[in-house]
Amino acid sequence: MDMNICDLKRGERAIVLKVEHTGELGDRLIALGVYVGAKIMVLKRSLRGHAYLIQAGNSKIAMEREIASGVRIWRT
Amino acid sequence: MMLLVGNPNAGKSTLFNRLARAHAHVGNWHGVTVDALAKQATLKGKTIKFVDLPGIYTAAGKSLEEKYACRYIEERPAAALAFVSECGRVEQFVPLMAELTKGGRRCALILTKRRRFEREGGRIDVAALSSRLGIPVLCAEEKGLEDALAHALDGHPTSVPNIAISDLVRPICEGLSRVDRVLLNGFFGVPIFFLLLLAAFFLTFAKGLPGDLMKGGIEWLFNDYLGGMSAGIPSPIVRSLVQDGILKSLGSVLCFLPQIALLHLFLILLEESGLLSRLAILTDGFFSKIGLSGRAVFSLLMGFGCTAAAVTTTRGLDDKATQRRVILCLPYISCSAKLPVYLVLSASFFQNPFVAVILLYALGAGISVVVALFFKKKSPPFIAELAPLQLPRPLFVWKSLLFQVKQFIIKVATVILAFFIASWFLSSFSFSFALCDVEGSMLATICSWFRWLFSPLGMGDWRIAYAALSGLVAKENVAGAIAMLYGSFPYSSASAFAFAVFILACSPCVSAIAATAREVGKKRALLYAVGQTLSALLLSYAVYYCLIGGALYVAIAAAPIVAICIIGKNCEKVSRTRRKFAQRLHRRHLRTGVDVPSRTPKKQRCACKRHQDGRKRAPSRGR
Repeated sequence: MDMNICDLKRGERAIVLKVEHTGELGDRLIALGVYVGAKIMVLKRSLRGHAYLIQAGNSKIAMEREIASGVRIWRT
Repeated sequence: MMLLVGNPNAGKSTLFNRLARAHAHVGNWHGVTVDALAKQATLKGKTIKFVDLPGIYTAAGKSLEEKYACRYIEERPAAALAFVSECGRVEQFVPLMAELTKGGRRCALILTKRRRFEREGGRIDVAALSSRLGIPVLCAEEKGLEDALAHALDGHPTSVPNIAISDLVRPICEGLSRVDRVLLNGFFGVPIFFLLLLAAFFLTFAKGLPGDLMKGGIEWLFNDYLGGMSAGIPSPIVRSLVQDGILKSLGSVLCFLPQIALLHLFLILLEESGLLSRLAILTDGFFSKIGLSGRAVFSLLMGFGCTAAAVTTTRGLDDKATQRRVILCLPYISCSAKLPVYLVLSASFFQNPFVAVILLYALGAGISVVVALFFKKKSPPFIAELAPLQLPRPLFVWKSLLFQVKQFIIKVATVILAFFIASWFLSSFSFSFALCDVEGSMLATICSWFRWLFSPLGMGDWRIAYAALSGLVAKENVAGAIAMLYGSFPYSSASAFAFAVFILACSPCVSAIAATAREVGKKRALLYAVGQTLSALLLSYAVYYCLIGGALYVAIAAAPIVAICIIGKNCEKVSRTRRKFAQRLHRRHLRTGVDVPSRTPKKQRCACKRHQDGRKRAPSRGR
């Protein structure tokens, strides 16, 4: 079962298994609440056709598909 | 001694500033603090050393800052710990507290951002939390925090148990609010934001509305009121210095202030209310295609009002490279001061000046897109937090506004003032340092050296060079200079249009250059100004010859460009088919300008490419 955020439908929840991004981008994701074990939920897919809006803890985060595909998740 | 410990971006530095009355740099993102900041302050009569540590997630953190913070805590077992956590994250924060208080420590938990948490539907039972964890729990946003904290840290050392507290914290409502659903909808969101920006624009720049009225008031004060008072000065040199040199320049610098203040007010309001982050998310798709970011919309639109003011609003952009590109594009977006120039010039080449002005504005916008595309680099992938919708706090707005205005006066206005006084000196004195008219001044002589620059446009006259140069002070001066020296524009319509194109594309006024220097450095600002002026000259020559030569000249000018495009493409095709795979891939990326890794496996990709190339080449080989 290899899934990332892009595989989720709107309103589906998941737990983050791995954040594949490293460096500054990885740190930023963690700071925004996307870390291993965090619960996330997809609020809006393809926001203006290129981005995802997800809820992670307290924050709502818009991210490009490129970033979303690098966050491995487990659907709950 | 008290150490502030917490997750990154939990608000430790804000708290530190408040407790220790310090001025540590704070920001709404993680990693603002990278070193331990220490400051002594008195808390309820006792002198305490407060230490602001970098944010940590776990006691076994891997990053340098985390290791540093953990070691700092371990080496000072006697220091009290003030744990700082956002309300929404407190559940994940308990294990860290348990880990750090092993063996007992004096500590307290301070919850931050509670108001925002509760506004979004979250609830937290502070009293129950305190009794379950066995430590005092305080809220940062409540009054009397200092007293409570001083009292709390007098207690006995305790160790926090690592227990579940999920029943005490109700997380915030997930999902989008109704307002967000409308704002983030492509059909409704973009028009709504467009209207908001338009309202901000008109309030700042339109005639008869606050920005314009205040500007007029300041101009009146300096030019008419104080200027009238200074008319009684007997010595002509001193009178000229006071009237034309000091008062006029002060007036022209300070009349920027209301508009700049208003623009920043709107920017701060948009940012604080959370609307700007939504606008950025909505428009990022389009703007990242031309190498700018969604957040640049505000600055670009405000460029139609005043380039200098718009340049100062680019400060909050995501990264320096994007900011530089936006600043490079801004001079091509015609500011309101260019309008009178366009009107004066277009009267001689168009029956209806309105059409000409629209044409010039569109040309400017087109050039700025071309410039953005030309300097486009692969931007980092887009990620942004949707800031919560809220009413801006008046005190915060007022403070940031004061800061911006102060910055403008200190860094920008002083430079402009010096330039204005120098230009007054050059235009009122002859080389023998006697007071004289413009015709005999030093500036007229200097301009006559530059007149050859405009002779290819059919206007080899010092007066046109003078008009162009006076645009450096302020663009509306060009119209004034033409009216003063010529009456009406005497040259052909082609010359007029070419000159309008030059004014459109040349370096912005000195205020904008000073603002640019403040943002990207002096050297770069000068480089931009010189580059823009040179390219504007070339562009105006091209426009002039296309206009007087008609189709023939257009064909001659376009031929080399088309030839380069065709030859370049062919060369690329041949080399792509002949070289190694990596080089071909590289070339392809160079051409398309984007470096997106393809999903198809390498072998298949090669085969596909070979197939395509073969098919394209097939007819020429006669197969």
